[in-house]
Amino acid sequence: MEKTKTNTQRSLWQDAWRRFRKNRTAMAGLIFLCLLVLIAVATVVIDVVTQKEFYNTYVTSQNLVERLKGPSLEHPFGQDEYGRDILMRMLWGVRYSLFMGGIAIIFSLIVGGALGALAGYYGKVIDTVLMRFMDILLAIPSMLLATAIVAALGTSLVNVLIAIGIAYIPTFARTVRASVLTVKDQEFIEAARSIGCNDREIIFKYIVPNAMAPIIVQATLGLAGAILSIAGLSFLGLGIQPPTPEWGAMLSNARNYFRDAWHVTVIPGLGIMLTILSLNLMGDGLRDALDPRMKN
Amino acid sequence: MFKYIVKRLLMLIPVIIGVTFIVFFILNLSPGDPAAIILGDQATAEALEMKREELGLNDPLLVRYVDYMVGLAHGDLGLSYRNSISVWDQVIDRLPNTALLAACGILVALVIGIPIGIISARKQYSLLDNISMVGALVGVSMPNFWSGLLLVMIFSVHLGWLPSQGMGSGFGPLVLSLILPSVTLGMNSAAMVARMTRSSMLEVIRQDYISTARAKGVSERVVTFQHMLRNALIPIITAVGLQFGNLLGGAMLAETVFSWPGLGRLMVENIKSKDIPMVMGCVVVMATMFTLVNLVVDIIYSFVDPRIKSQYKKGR
Repeated sequence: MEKTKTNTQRSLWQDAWRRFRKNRTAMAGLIFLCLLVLIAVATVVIDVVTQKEFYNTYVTSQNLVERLKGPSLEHPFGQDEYGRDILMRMLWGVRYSLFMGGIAIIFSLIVGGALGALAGYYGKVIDTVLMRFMDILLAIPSMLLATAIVAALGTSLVNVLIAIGIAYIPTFARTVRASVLTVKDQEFIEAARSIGCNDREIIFKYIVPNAMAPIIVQATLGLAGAILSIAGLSFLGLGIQPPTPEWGAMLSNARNYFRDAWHVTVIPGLGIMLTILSLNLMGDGLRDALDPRMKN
Repeated sequence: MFKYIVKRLLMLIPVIIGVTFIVFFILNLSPGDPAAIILGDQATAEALEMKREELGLNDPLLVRYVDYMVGLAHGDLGLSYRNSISVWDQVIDRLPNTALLAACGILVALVIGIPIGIISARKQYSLLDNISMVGALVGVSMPNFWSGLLLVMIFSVHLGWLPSQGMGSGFGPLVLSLILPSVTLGMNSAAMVARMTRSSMLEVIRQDYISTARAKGVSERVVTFQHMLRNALIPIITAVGLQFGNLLGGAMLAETVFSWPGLGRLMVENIKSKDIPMVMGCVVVMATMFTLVNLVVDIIYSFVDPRIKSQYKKGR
């Protein structure tokens, strides 16, 4: 008897976490991602504490005698075309993919989410106008839209963020609108309104928490897309510029040398792939955990 | 049916107008004076002013947009800033190359993705299923500019089997030069299609009519293709249509890796030289292509699923 009692008291989120924990591949994704966050934070801390001295001596220091040298004990991932240590550059590159992707997605989540919630909650003219606009934005493939924005604003870190942030707004607007629509006609919303809650309270206290599951899944998968786009733009020379150790930019450089050395191409790409893979694994796991009906 | 297609074609017009407006607006935010880009640093203030007047840059944005749209309706996308050649000619010149590459990419996606999805679904939780689904996850996660470089490394540099760059002329060389770029471009989509096919087949596989078909002695082949796949096809087609958008975005990357003379590469080159009319032309044409493909996907639905078709016959 007592066991069933504790069972009923578990919240949706605890429940989801229990299911997520059982999913070994999703957990592997989560652990790898935590590791990346740790690396990104650690490298930023090292930069701040040593005032970029560590960065200058180990990450950007050139050693032309040992250029393009393969992996060795001293340099486990080998050295690049200027003899720089690729392991160090990979570690220092984590922040660009992860944090920039994260910021871009949070931006589009907030803007897209707000627009989607407005459209879904108020319906009618606002809905039609906003969603037609989103449809038009969706008619431009996101990578193309991001590239066009970068073309107009010029290549800089902030512009890449803006470009990718805008390119993902329509996806979130759609997701949020769809979940708001499923929630808003339910009885507890009517109950909330009848006890005198205003629109803002209803949206933020009742609708948003209940519409959270698909948004979290979408955000995880969107982050994977954003990281790919950042790397892609940098690869095209339109994103983060070398010598900044961004993975896409490293790959772009590697194109000129891959006939002589395999590791300069393989390693940065592997970094991008593992990051995206872990996000995809997590996204799949989250979807199964948050919506058990979806699981077959 | 004909009415439906015409109606959908007409509905394209506002979408294309909207897309061009957004792209026009974004690209005109561009800081920097086009006149200065064309004439160089040495130009005098009067020459710059004359050039600006000639390009119509002194007009308000909306007037310029209307001018642009009128031009577009006549097959005129303006002149390149860099060498004053017609953007339309350039874009139309490159368009078939990108269309060919994208079509081959989709073909690769279908030819690899659908069989893998079917086999995985039929043998759910088998070793084969697990291997293919891990493979598909890795495939989805691979950035295509990286897999392209890896393919070149293996098949061009080490084995020397396939060309690593450019587009061959003549049928044989063309096919050879298409292989690596289309595999690169189609790989992510193949993985996506495989996953979609598997889950869509799994939804169908336990339906009663499948048991019925088996019970009445229909061969396993016919059950798989006529009863299962046919019913599982709608989500797969949707996924393929959406993949086409990713493919066009990816074409920029794949074309850059393989020096493929397509729209994506034209666009990237011209972004670097700040040739806004060129970039604009490329984006407008690619976005139009994407909308057209979505239309085709909608029309295919009605062939695959007669229920959709009958909706448009009723009361019309």
